[in-house]
Amino acid sequence: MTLRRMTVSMRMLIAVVAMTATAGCDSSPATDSHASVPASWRQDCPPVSRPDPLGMDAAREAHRLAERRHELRLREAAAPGSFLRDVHAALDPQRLAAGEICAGELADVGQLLFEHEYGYDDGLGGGDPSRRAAGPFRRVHEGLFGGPETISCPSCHWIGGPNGAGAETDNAFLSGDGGMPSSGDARNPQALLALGVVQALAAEMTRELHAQRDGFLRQASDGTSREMRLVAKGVDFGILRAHDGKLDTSAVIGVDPDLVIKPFGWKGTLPDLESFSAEALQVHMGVQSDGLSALASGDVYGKGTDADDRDGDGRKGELGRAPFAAMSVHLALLEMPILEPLIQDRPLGASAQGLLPPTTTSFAVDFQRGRQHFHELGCAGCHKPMMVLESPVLTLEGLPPIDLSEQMRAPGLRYDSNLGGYPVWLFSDLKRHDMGKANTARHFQRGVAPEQYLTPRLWGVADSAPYLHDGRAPSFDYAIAGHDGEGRQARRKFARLSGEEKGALRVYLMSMRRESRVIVP
Amino acid sequence: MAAPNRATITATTACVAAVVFVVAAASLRVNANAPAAPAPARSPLLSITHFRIPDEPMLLEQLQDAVELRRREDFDRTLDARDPGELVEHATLTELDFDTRKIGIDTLFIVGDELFGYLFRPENGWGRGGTDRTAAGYTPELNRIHDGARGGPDAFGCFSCHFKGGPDGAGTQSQNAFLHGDGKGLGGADQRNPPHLLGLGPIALLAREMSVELRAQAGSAQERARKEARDVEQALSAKGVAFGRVVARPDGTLDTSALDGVDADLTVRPFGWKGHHATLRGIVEESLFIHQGLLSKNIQLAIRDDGLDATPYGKGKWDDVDEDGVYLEVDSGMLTTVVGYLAQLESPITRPPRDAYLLDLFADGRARFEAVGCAACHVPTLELRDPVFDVRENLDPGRPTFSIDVAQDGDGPKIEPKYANPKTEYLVHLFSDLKRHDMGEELASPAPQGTIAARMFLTRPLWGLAETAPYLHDGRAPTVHDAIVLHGGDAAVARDAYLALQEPERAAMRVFLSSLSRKPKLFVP
Repeated sequence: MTLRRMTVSMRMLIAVVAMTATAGCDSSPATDSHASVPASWRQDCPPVSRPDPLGMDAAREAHRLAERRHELRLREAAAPGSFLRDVHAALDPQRLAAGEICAGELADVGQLLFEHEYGYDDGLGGGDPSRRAAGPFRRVHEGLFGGPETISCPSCHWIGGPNGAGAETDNAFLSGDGGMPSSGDARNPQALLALGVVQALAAEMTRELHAQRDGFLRQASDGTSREMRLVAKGVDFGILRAHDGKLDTSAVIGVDPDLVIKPFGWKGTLPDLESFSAEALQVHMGVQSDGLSALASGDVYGKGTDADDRDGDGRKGELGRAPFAAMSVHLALLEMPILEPLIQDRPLGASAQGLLPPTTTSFAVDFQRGRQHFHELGCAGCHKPMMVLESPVLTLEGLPPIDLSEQMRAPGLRYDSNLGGYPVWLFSDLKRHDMGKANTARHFQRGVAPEQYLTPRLWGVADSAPYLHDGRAPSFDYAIAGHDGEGRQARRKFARLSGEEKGALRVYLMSMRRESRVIVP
Repeated sequence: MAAPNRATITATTACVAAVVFVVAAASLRVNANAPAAPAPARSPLLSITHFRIPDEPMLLEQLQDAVELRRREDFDRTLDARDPGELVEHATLTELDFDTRKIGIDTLFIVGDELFGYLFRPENGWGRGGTDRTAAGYTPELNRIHDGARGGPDAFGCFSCHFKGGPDGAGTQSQNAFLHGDGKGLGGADQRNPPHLLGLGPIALLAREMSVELRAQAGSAQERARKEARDVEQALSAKGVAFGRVVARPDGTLDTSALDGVDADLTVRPFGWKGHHATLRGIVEESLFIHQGLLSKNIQLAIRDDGLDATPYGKGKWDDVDEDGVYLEVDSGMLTTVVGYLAQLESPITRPPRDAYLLDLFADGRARFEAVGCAACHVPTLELRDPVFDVRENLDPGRPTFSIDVAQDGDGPKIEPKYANPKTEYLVHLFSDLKRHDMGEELASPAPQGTIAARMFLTRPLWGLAETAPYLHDGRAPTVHDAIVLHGGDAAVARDAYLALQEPERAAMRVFLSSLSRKPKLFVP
């Protein structure tokens, strides 16, 4: 059984074992003492501040953050590597393990780590440090090891706001030969929205599938041939069969045989945001987090003989457990997009001499018609508009459980008593589909076939152009035109719509957007 | 995309924002006591003791402008979704609009801003032909590695590569362009990291004044050579920057073989990493072509009338050379609009540290920047005489000019007058001599770019530097330190002088350089 086929829990177990094995090596500031997971957060944590995103408090906070960013950059200029050292020192693993650091503070540090521009002193890149005259970068990945292509996360996650999507120019070229973009698989960076919610939803679906499988196995233990339809949150995952007490997953669709829903990555290859960020840090920046080797293979993290410096750049323990946890908390608590038609109910004056003022208009009617088309065309079949999250509690490694409904940024989860849970308008079924010849990748990715892609979540889609996995669609029309395979039928139906009907559908898509928020870039 | 508070360059904003660093150290110590918002308890790492937030009225104005801009863009984008073409249609100004001055300078800015943020589509002329664009399932094809002079296309919009550190900013390392490649592989392609676009108006004007100065000097030498019937050798300099020598012959010819850092036509070309364009119009036209595959009317007409070699553009008839079925891709008015927008962008500022220890380093670093020799090429300040910029850049001498004042119009902060005197010069703190230098073998391009040798690069203006990591023309230097260390050729001496410094002195220089930033402004993405 290869590493990539193991279940999450098995990998976590390995992570723990690996960590225990390296504990005592003094290289990393934060490798030890994460073994005990605190049961709860400290009680006196300040409530999450959720100011009006376009109000004066938000404006002040935006300026304050910009000032802090500038000062941290100057401190870093004075003493390269000091930021990361300070973070390691500030996030004392003992305090973290004792639950003494609030989730809000962790998220704050995590955001700084997300924004930080990594240099050689932080472990940027890999390989022999003496060969730096040409720079550390490689635009096309060489195999699974990656680039690196850049120095920070916002480099490729900026469209539509902080933690957003990437432009077509930010495409990564995965699994390439290190030289030709066409040798790799172009991947447009996806917006990092409400990753905690996504992970929690996926985990509930996985539990649902596993419960069905376990029950089925008990029934099948009598040796009879049986079959059962797998369904999670209303999504059909094909048929599970049993012959002679043995499980047959050949008719299971849209999910791996391990029945673990993996909601991260265009191909749906990663089950949790920790594996996503650990891998992204390595393949795009060459920054190695502790525990990476437990989440990925040596092809990804390097074949160096020094266990603390697999990428052989002379930097050991680049990102310790605690800072890594902080980054995970930051990602987990990111806000959800909204679904709201644009209502222009206040007249706008002419913006300048010679221009007409915009007509006072509401797009509410187009929104309603568009929603209808979205369903009639069959878009909603895969881009399932809403799922209900039963429990808002997210578990991240080494941290007390996080109640997303309390801790995440606004807009966040809201309980709906009619649904008995938290509605999440994500517009995806978190399932893989055959997207046809037009989208076939060059390589299998973690065992996922070249034409298979996870249904991308359409929430926030208005703020994430260009579209499709390789960013080749500058507008909705091309995004729809790029649907092939299982999406071809809907594409054909869209093509047959009248101009007005298409317009309404696009207005509906435009209403899947991020809440406007004031920032200082 | 542009920051919100265009055309509101009041005296107050300017005095807070545009900091001449000589004065800054003193004034900011005072400012450090400004009211601070209460912050929740954080670890010492995250607490900064001295910071400044704009006062309430200014903050409110910034906020209203930012929200207003967002609301307009939301509206325009949604309208364009419902009725495709609306946006680009509204963002099209013709030369006739400029002739009749039907539009104002602020309109030019807003429309240019729309164009800058627009993702061009095949129906706008994006890319080139070769495939059936009407086929069901047609999607555009990006090409990361440029195919010689034909370019990619590698992007849909301008802002796809100019957003780092804020609107109209630089490009990240992942956004590097691969120029003059074989259309396939990284090897052999000439990498370029997108620079930020702030302060381009003043730079265009500085270069023009310098060219005028150089030509006047050469002209008078030619005059003397004719009169005195002998060779006249003349040293050339513009705004205090030496550009080598020319020898004027009695027959009127000019020997330019001893020129230094400027082309033989004595035109200072400040745009592009190698300084290959003299005008904004030129660099905009080229960028739209190589990155978006958008062909200007000007190029089409040159192919038809002037025998311009059509090879890089395509094999079609002149009016659709790139055979994509779109005949009018970039109207002359569109170029003028983008130029008019870029020329109105803000200028970067110096943001000295507020922390006392860092501020000391900053002041020390500023002095060392000179002492080490960086300032020899990265000349801190050039003085601009005339801030009036014709956004048509003498496109057609027969047409009226459309002038803007780069010290006033558009987005702030703006360049500052030297004296409080209406007839004064303007100080442009760009940290460049706008001259080409030999940067050594290590940094050399794979091949010459036109007539510009592989090792030659224009002194990159350092203003706004802090927002543009990674550094150098191909972004190979992750930090300021790495960038300095990789300087070679003419800069090797200064580099060695930096390396000879002890660490605290080096740190001072890095702190100074990292203070070259831009004004923090509210923005609603």
